[in-house]
Amino acid sequence: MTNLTTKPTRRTLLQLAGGVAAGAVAAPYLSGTARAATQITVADPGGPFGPAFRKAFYDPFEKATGNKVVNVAREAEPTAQFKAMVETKSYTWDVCTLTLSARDILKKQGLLDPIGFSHADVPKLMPEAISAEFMGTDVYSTVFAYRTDRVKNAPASWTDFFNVEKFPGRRALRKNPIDTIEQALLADGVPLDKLYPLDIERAFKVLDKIKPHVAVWWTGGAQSTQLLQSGEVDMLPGWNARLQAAIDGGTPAKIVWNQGLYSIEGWGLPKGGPKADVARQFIRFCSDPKAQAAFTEALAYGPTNLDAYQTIAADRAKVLPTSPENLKQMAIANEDWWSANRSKVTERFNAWLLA
Amino acid sequence: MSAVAARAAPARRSGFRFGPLWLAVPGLLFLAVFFAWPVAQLLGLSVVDPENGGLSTESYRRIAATDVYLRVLGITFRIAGWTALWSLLIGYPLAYWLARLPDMFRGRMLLFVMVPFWTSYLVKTFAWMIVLGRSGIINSLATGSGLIDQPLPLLHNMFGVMVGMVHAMVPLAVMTMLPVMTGIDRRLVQAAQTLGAAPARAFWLVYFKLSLPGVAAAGLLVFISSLGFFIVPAFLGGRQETMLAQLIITQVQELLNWSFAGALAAMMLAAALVSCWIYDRLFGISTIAGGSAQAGAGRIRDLGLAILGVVGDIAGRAAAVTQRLLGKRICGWLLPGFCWLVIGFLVLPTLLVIPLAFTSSQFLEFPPPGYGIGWFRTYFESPLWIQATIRSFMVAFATALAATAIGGFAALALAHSRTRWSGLIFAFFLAPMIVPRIVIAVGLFYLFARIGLVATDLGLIIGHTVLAIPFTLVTIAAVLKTYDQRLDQAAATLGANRVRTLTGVTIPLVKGGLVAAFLFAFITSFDELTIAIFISGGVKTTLPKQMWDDMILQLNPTLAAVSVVVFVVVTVMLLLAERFRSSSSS
Amino acid sequence: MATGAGAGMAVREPNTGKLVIEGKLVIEGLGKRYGATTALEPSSLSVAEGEFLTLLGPSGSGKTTLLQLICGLVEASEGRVVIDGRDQSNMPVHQRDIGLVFQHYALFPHLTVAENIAFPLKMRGRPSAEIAGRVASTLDMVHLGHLAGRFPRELSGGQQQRVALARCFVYQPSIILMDEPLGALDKKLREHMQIEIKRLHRESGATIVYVTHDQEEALAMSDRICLMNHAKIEQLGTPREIYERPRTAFAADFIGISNIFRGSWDGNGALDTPHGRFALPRGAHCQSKDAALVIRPENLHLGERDGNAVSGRVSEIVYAGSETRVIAALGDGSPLVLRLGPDDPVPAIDQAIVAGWARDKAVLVA
Repeated sequence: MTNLTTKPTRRTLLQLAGGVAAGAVAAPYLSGTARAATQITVADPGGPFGPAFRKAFYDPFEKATGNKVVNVAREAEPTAQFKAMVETKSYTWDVCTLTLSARDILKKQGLLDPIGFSHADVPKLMPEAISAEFMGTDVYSTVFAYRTDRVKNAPASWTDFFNVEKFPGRRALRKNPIDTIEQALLADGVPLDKLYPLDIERAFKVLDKIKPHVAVWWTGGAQSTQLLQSGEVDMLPGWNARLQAAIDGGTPAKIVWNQGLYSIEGWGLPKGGPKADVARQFIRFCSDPKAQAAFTEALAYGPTNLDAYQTIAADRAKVLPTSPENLKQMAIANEDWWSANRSKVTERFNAWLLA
Repeated sequence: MSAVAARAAPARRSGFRFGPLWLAVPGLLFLAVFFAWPVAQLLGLSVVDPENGGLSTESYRRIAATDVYLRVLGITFRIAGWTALWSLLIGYPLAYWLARLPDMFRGRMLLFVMVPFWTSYLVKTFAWMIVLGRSGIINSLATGSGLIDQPLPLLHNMFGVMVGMVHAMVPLAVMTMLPVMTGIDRRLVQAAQTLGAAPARAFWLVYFKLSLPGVAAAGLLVFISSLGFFIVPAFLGGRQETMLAQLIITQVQELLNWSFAGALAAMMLAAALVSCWIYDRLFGISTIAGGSAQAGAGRIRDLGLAILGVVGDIAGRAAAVTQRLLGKRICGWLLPGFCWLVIGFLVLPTLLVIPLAFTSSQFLEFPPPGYGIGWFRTYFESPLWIQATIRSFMVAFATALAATAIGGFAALALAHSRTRWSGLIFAFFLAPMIVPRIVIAVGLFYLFARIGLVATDLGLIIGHTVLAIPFTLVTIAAVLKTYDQRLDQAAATLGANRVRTLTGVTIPLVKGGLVAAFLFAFITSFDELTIAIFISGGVKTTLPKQMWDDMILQLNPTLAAVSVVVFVVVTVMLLLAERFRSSSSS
Repeated sequence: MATGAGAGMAVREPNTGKLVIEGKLVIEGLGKRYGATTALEPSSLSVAEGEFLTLLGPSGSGKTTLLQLICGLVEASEGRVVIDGRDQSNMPVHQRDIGLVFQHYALFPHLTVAENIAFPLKMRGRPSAEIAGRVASTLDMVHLGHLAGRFPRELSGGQQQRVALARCFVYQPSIILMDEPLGALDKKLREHMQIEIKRLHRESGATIVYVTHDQEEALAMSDRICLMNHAKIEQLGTPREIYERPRTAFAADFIGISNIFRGSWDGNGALDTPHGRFALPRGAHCQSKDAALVIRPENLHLGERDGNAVSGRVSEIVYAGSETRVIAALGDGSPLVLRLGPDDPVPAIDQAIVAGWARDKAVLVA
């Protein structure tokens, strides 16, 4: 098996690397294939991610290196498991998808291993998408959508979304301070680039006004799809791919990208993992623009390697967060602020909800 | 005889009269290691500073600093309380009706009552969203027929939560009340009538009073089980319906503040224990297993009887008026009519899931725009779903075996024992029911992570067995209570040893109870999510966990297809079991 | 249609032809059907004020059904129940002024002895002072004054029985029905309670309808016995009438010990049986040719009487203190029972004997 795949593998990879730092890329792959085929366990978000990742990343990686990838679904917030895994040295996963906030929490507690390459190795990667212990594979964006059949006066900003007189319609918000606080401040006229540090007092004043008009407080991504699709509400904020899923399924709705906040999901390594070498190889592989482009066919997340847009159809690009048209209307959510303040603000948000 | 004497002798000689309680020892050890220890450890974390590992009361001070946690606790108790109340109000007439049916017919009707058990509550929750939503079935029908102009607010409020929770809990309430009710001598009500009590009055003064232990046990079970709910309130509730379990999960999973999670868990546990203590004062905890209620101390008892007297008086008059208005014939149909409505309510979400499974749409929408078997194909072609299904069945089966054995031996031990230890041991065995699941799940996860049981089938089985033991113990103990122990003595005098007595006499005679316990444990495991979330590690996925993953990210009708497949499999299994049982008994 | 019994209590008024009801309890054509099965054929019966009437019969004979129809626990398919001259047929159970003592007492387990007894008075809204007084006096009547505060489960079977009786007597219902009330007690206690019930009956002057399958109990306690079989009334009469003049072989067989010879009646004074031709009592008459002759053991004597004789061989001798019973096997193996007086010589086992009876001591039945 190993012998058979050695040669074609190297060629494929060199092609894949597309001349970008070919030498640097080739070395780890060679070392990987020199050994017997390794099986790594990869924790992805599950659900639709499983098949989409398999097609875009796992299968091509297996083909390219001869290693096996077994994917399992991780929790929405895998940090607790991650922590227990490292502390007890029982590595159920070799590599795991993390949100930026999870990355920061884990990094702070010293639970991550370095990924072994840097921005210089993949220059077309969005700079926010790579750090010493993390490489982003996809970008999701918190935007809002409205039902075109119910909302006649099309809202175009968070200010419009929060204006219940001028833009009537049933609304939902997320039952979580993250995103909701930002949306309130944006609605109140805070410019996108001056959001952080968040002015909590100001945000709650804005939220006070819209509170009686919020029909539904959603808690899960699938729920936001369902709310939009079933017509339970007429407009709601959500993650672009979840809202896009309803639109792809024929729901008459439109996404407003203006003032969107995006964030990145990507790979991280549990500290001291036994198969870190192959896992690093895998992460590196996921930076490939063609693989990332393939991923966007299945799910409407933005590639982090902007070169991917060279092969993405123009129609599809329109609904992806990192396409130039959309990206320029948005800003990245500040995870640092949240990791410092989340606990306190969550407590306050919960109290506000109950009041 | 000689066997009994020979075995009893050493215990007496040692002076320590533990006697048959030895049978409970495996269960005690099991719960000590996999329940008491992990929970204690989690609670211990609440007084540990997460930064430096030293002792700290910071977490508790934080809870005290704001009223938000107390308020969420209040909401949790309010929702659990209302759920218990409504489950009793709806379940009581149903159980009463079932208790009066002939045995054969009752068995069949019980299958209907159990239907909601076999549909994952994740699926049921979405079914209710489809029924109650703004453009849901009820509102479409009501607005379509011109009954109302504006859609009714049925969802994302307390009403929605109650529908979802009560629907999930009515079967438990009915199953708990039914044995008590079937045990009530119906001639007592006749006696009251011949002594001059109108039927309604006779019901309240005699039947209702005698069914109270069952009502109280059902109320406590539903209440405690409801305390740990978080999915139904999250999806069907509104802004205010936040449960403490949700906050604990957030602390554990998202904020990684285990110390604070431990403190919240301790608060929840303390509150649950206080409710149990109050319950014990009022009814006696042993009524959960069908024991007779304490007669109660003078004044409380007199007050209770006086209240019942007044209620009976009013009910008697109301019944007379109703009967005059509606006529005898219609009045006779009120109870069966109501019960069929309740059964309809219980079965509705499951029925709804069937067309949803055959939808051609990408979404769980009703009515489906077209029909096809695409989602069944998706299910059968997905190794992930199939593996999860098989694992769920295997784990549930192993759990049911283990829990029935452990619970059965414990029940046997307690039934034979007359020492003052037995009350304490009984309470300990019930504890996993009283401690919120999330607390057990997190504690077990912490323990399993260190001994390598995370992401193993064994870990899942152990976790589920912990949860199932109280149910099996209670079910079997209730049966043993009515079991004539002289039969065992008879077997012993006829020369059977302990083991032969157990296998040849006791077990065949309490078979009904064992089967019920097995099914209870099976369902407990089969529909369990909280432990699965923590223990499965995403590797050993069970069906509820797999559904939950879908529910978080992207929901599609595979969920409905899975439910239909599971429902068919379980129905076939139950029918086969029933056929086997009736053929072997005849 | 109706298996009439107890005629003479309901009399037709000469001028109008209307039925005039006499008696505390009158049952007219009362019947009960469950689908195709008949629990009670339409039956009529009348019970006089202060009478002790026993419904006697084997299980399934309809006696309990009749009792339940009287108190209204079961709805009649046809017929009427009249108490104190008022038609009660459509009256719900709790409004019929009836007391019922249940087979297993049906004491309320959640109420004390005193509360159980006070229950019917409370239901009737009596003032609490009156309730207390009557409960106390009734408790004394059944000698349970010291157990007023106990719960039923803390009492012995006999004590529970007395509470059940007290609960019934305390409100002085028009009629007291008792459904095999002594069935669960042992023999000694049962005999004691029989006397107790008789005493209560005498002291209270209550009208009692009593159900039992124990013929000895029925004979010992009743003013009249209503013998039931196959869902209908078989014979109604005083214990003496039923014992001495049974109307059917069933009645003869069910009450007391009987020697029964089946045969064919010659239409005159003799019956041809496989054991011989027997002389019948003077004036005996039967509706059919098939008939049977009943001779009680105490009327059988060793040696021939009035030309009546059967021969057999002694198979068993039972000494019962006041009497000695001899059981002999007849030629075809069927048993013959005779009772010897204290002075009669006792035959030996296997001894061949001849037994006979005075012709007027036998009864011809259908």
